[in-house]
Formats: sequence, C-alpha cells, structure tokens
Amino acid sequence: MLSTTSDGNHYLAPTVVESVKILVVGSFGVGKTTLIGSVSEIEPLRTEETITQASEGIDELEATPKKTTTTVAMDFGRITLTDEIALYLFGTPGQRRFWDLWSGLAEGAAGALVLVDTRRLADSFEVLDQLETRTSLPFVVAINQFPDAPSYEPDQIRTALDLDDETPIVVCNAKNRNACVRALATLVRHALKTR
Amino acid sequence: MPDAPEDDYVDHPIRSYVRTGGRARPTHRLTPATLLIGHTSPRATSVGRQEREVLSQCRGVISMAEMAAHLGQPVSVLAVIASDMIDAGLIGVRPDSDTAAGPSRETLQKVLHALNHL
Ligand SMILES: Nc1nc2c(ncn2[C@@H]2O[C@H](COP(=O)(O)OP(=O)(O)OP(=O)(O)O)[C@@H](O)[C@H]2O)c(=O)[nH]1
Ligand SMILES: [Mg+2]
Repeated sequence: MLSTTSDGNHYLAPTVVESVKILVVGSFGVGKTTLIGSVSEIEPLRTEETITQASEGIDELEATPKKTTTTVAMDFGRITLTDEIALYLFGTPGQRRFWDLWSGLAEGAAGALVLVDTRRLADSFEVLDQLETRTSLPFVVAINQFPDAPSYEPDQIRTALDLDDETPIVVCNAKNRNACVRALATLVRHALKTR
Repeated sequence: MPDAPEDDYVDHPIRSYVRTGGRARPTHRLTPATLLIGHTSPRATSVGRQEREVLSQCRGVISMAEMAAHLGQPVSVLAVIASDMIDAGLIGVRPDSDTAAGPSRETLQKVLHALNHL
C-alpha cells in the first residue's frame, strides 16, 4: 500500500542537503508524540521495529528459554529549518530494554530532549541513566507541566533527578509550539557549549 | 558510542532476512534520518516489487524514516533494500544527512538561529 499524498509535503525541498536529528525521550505517556506533533511540519509518522529477546523463565512445553517479541514504535516529525537543513525529531521510549533500538538513533544526534512528568519523576531515572552511561549526547530536561501536576522549582527537580549543574532544565508544555521550540533551542545552545 | 554501527537496526534478523531475499544487513549506513533521493534517470534495469515501491517514494528528497512509514515497513528492512539499490545506482543519498560524527558547529549554529526565528 502506498500512501500517495498530494499535500506537497511528501518530499523535502530539493535544496535540502543536510539532516540533523534530535531525540525526544522519556517514559511512557510523558508527551513525546504530543511535542513532536506540536512542532512538526508533517503529521507525526510512525515506524515500528520488532525486537526479540530472551525473557525470564523457561517455556514449559519446549523446555527452552522463553523469548518475547516486542514491537517498539518510533514516532517522528520534521521541520525544514533552512533551504538546506531539515531537523528530524524522533520520539523513543528510553527504557533499557529498548536500548538496541535507539542506540542507532543516538549516533550522530545533536542531542536529546528528556521529557519528564513531575507526577512520575522516578520513571525518568532509567532514561537518564541510559543517556548518561551509554551515550555522550548533550541533553536538556524538559518538564512537561501537566495541569494537575505539582509544580517544583528547577532546583528541586535537579536534586530529585541528580542532574549536573550544567544540565539545563526547562519548563515546557508539549501542546504549545512556542514552548517546544524554545526547549529545542535550549538543547541546541547547550550542544554548542559542550563541544 | 559503545556499539559498533553495524549493530544498528538489525535487531530482528530473521524477518529482515526473509523479506530481503537472504541479505540480513545493509552495506551503507542508512539511519532513519538519512536522506534518499531518486535519480532523474535511473539506470534501466528490471526491478522487483520492493524496488518499485521504493522508487515510487523516491521522486524527491525523502528520509528513510518517512519512506519506511509510508511503505509500512521497519526502517531496518528498508535499509537492506535501499542499500542494494544505492549499489545498483537506482537511488542516491545526501552524504551530509545524519552523519555518524553528528552536525558540525556551523550547522548547529544555523539550526539554533532558525529555531530562534521560527
Ligand atoms: N494537558 C496536557 N496534556 C498533555 C501534554 N502532553 C501530553 N499530554 C497528554 O498526555 C497523553 C500522552 O501524551 P503522548 O504525547 O501520547 O505521550 P508519549 O510520550 O508519546 O506516550 P507513549 O508514546 O505512549 O510513550 C495524551 O493524552 C496527551 O494528550 C501537556 O503538555 N499538557
Ligand atoms: Mg508516543
């Protein structure tokens, strides 16, 4: 099945020669797809990969180690920033078990925007841990402020998440385009500082 | 990066292997953000259904991820097909798209400037 779009947005401008990517990571339901949709010039798209891995325990009928098959979806969007440069935003769940899938994405990325929900701060530990131990990507923590969530001072968040003094923390609203663009700009500014 | 690039996107080798006629991994580094471009006059060869599908999505500049999403295939599967098509001269890549080394300082400055003016 081909999806032939006639909206003129199917292809990039022929002048685009360079692509830059930013990862949008965070635990389930934290607002990754929402943020991508807020800034993307195309409807967010999705691709899926299947990962097969050994899981706990033994299959009783086969007496072999159990395997589980997981489908991992990656949502993404794009923004053509100049005649020559397109920015891609890839939303991936940052958990350890999906590492194989997003390690390839991390290579060559400008940086990562880590979305955090203050109602579930502990859910972010694993994502931050993966970023810090397995990549050298510059990252920025963006608090996705849900209406009913407690609001903290950035310093409280820094302590709770055990972040370096250098790691920028921004308050964001994934539904608001300007707020998302500002968070991305903070990340790129930070990336420029760290190289 | 602790992982070698050849480990990228080949996490379900069996399915890829079946769908790609026996080849399990691409020879080119093709990531979701790699930009593909169709040649205006592709070499006249008889191509199979998968290649035709790719060519139908290659009438302009398009990322691997977008093409994979439009074709309903995992990026890892498309990478194997597209890699062979590059070798066959059917499609090309933008060499500055999503390089392993990452964007240059100059590129990042342009990105920042553009974001500040969106
Ligand atoms: N009020 C409010 N709701 C939000 C915001 N961001 C996301 N939501 C809602 O939270 C839910 C989850 O958002 P998603 O963008 O799907 O989150 P996700 O991180 O992509 O989720 P997964 O892909 O399932 O991990 C949706 O119902 C969104 O509408 C926000 O900034 N404000
Ligand atoms: Mg999502």
